[in-house]
Amino acid sequence: MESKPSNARRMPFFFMMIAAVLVVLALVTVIQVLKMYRETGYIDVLALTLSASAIGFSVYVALQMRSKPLKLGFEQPKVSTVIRCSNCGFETTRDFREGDYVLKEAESCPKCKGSMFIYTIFRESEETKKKRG
Amino acid sequence: MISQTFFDVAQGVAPQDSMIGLIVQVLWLAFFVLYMFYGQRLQVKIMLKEIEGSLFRLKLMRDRGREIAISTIKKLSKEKNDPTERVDRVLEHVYIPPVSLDPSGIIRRLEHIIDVRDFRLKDEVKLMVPDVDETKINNLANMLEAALALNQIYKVVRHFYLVGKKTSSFYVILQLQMILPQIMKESQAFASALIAFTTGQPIGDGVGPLVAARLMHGNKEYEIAKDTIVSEVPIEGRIAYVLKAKGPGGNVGKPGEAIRQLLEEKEGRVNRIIVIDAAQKLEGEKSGEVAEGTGVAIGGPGVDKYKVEEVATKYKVPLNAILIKEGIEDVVSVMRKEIANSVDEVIKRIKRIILEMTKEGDHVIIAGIGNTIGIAQ
Repeated sequence: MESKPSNARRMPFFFMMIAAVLVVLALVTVIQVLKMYRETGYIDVLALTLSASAIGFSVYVALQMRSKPLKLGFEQPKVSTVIRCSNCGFETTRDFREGDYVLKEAESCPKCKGSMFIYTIFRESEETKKKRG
Repeated sequence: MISQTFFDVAQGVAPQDSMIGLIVQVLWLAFFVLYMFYGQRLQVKIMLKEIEGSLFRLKLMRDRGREIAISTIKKLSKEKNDPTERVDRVLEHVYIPPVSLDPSGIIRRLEHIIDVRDFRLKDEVKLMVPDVDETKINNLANMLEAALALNQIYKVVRHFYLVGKKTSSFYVILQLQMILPQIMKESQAFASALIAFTTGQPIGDGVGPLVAARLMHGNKEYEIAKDTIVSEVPIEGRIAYVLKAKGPGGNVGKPGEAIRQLLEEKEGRVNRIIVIDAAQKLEGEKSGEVAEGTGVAIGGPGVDKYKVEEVATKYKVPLNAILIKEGIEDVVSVMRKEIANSVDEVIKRIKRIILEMTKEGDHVIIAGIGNTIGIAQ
């Protein structure tokens, strides 16, 4: 299997070029509008608005491309382990530790000294986190 | 004033009589002419660019998956042999399905090929890390399967990308672009799976075994078929044979064979079979939603499903299915809280089905289907 070391991030050159061309065209239009205003006193509001929108859009696209991290799915999510007492039902939640598995015996219950076991292991999804704010 | 402004815009945002206005007009005209002749080619170029971006991400995923597989095996290996060559060979492993030209006996042949493939994968792991326990071997075999899937996806997408580029075929590229979001979603799921298998965390597909584990907790179990365990559990005055794959290593077991053996042993004296499995949710449905159905809810290549259908039909045993809805990205990634929380609802439904559809003293089979990684018994 061929494998070359790959860059973690690649410049989206194509989109940056489009954004740059858009900015240049918008600036030319703005200059034209200003020139026409000086000569005739008529201001082309629509052309000015379109140019401002084009500049705004380009800046937005550029910022989006800069701030977007490349997520591949290998990120370790926050995983929790729920431990429950089989005697009194006392429950405690902690971070997942390597070697944890459901129904594994855990330390004794701090309340009744009964035997505890791993009841469940789960991750909180991104959607749930977002909903909680 | 307004009509003048519209006219200006139509003319290229600049007055017609200026030099720049003329240039803009010529550019517009040239653009239309070029678009008429080269429009589709331009579209092809844009689509290829998009596919190229996704292909780049797939390559990163494939390389990262391979790196994780190699480093995990290296960490566990005491002999300090470099597993790179062997891992690369495993990642290129090809599965050839049996011939379907003559469908007679295809299930038997399919099962044989799947078994050989599984043994081969586990043997490769044992050769790389001979000192680890069965749980770790199963987890590592699952991890290699996820890395293999990432490699295969990358290669198939690259193949169609290159074919499309070579032939400039609009339709080849269009088809690839259309299914690309789904492919990316699946690849991300395999990437998450790789992490889950490396650390031995339960995955979304394990919700069936999780239900079975909760039911059989505290009862004696025994191995009925390869990597499949069964436990006799009294539920509401009935005798339930609860079965699942043997955990906590990554394993799906042989639930079809286990149910077949149980029914043959009891000579069909089983009043109901309840199968619990994760099912693909539709867009708009919530993860962890529970649904009921009739039939055998067992995914995969179809061997286990076939066996259960065969034996259930032979002895006329009614079949119930309880499905836990999950998105494709949840099936092989670490189990979501919503899915883990659905277990109580599933158990409630099992008890309701048993109470409504069987009598006291009846025998019931409850099968928790799925990969039991991170779930013991």
